[in-house]
Amino acid sequence: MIRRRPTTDTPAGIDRRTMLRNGGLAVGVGALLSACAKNFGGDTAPGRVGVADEATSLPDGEINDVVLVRTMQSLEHSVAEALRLMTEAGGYSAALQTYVDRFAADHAANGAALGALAEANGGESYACPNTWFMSRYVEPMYGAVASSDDVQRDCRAATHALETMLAHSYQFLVGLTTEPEHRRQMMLLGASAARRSAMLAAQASAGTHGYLGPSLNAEAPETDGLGFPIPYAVPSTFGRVDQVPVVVGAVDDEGSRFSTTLQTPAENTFVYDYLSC
Amino acid sequence: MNQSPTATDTPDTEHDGLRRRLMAGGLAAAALGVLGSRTASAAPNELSAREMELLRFAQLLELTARDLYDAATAAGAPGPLWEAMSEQHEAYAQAIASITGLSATGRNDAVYDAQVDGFRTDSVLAAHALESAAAATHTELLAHITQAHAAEVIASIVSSESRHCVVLADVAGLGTNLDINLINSADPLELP
Repeated sequence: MIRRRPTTDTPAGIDRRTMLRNGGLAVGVGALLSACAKNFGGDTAPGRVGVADEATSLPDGEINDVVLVRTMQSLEHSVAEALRLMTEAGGYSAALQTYVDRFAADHAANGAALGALAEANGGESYACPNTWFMSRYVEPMYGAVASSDDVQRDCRAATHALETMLAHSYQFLVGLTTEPEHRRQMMLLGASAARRSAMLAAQASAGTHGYLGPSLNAEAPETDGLGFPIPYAVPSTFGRVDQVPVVVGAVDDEGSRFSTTLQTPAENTFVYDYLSC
Repeated sequence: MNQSPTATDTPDTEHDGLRRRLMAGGLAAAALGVLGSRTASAAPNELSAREMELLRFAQLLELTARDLYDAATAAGAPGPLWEAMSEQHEAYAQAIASITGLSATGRNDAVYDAQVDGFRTDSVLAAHALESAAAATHTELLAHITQAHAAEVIASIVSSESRHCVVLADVAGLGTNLDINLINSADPLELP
């Protein structure tokens, strides 16, 4: 004999088994209906506040040898442009202007050589200054130089810093360049930049502080009595790729001068394939 | 308290054999992955026999320069600058040793013998010629080196030796000569 549990006289509650069965049925039917429902459209993107233009993302830029060559080409043009500005401002002594004229001619020739190298490898020549480098470094530096208490002192310092930055940049990009022949061609120009930097340093400070920088000569100071970095023809044992400090301009109300550090190219400085001028 | 038997408690059934084979396969795949990744990362860092030969040539050139500066100092050349130059070329040879594993000993006797008299008598111009040739040689070397780190080291030496040329020109009283300072007219040494 089977004894059944009485059902009629129990309260109308939901036991655990019923809840699981009915709950599962409800979820299953809901999923089916949801899958079969029509798409009524409408914007599902997060809401925006304000009327600003939509942000546009940059194309993905591949870093390859052509990009690196074009980047150095743009930096050669940037330095040439800086020298032109400082020349027009009368920033060089007659003797130094002779050097600067030669440097400017070298930068033009180097830019052309790099443009030809880019084209020979399927790229496009970029015979313009580097926009990022100009706005971040050259323009503010030139602004400080133009209103300086000693324009010639500052133009000499800025020129040395720019040539040093070029030397560091060429050397730095050797490690990113993949084709050995491209490395060779880049370092031909990098060696020239190192020579220009050393020549300016030797003429500016070798008589007072010697040729060897503080890392090679414990008696060589980093800065002069006014806080300006002292250039050295041989600042260290190995060629460097670090940032180049610059201090120029008049003393401001807070007692300091404009200072910045020129840096070797990075992702934000590279002249990618999709850029042209 | 009783528990249902777990897979580890069961006898070595066909199912368990499959599991073990899958685990073994996974280990093998993992091992291959490790080996593969090592191969992939090691490949760009390996120097070929030809590259080792060229870097040894560069190293010997640096050791030769060191010995030539030492010979000039012994013959009475001005001390601190020549000593610094000697130490720097020694450092370049050591840097090449660090990337090749080649001991920084020996020198290029042919170059040394050809230059030593010049270093003993007119060391500034002889040193300028040697630094120019070394910078040109190392620049040429870059066209034959595929490993990025080795290329970086060689490039840093090129940079520094180019600066040495300017210093030596200035010491020689030619510091304002733009052509001598800005153009390296030296031919690279013939590579082996």
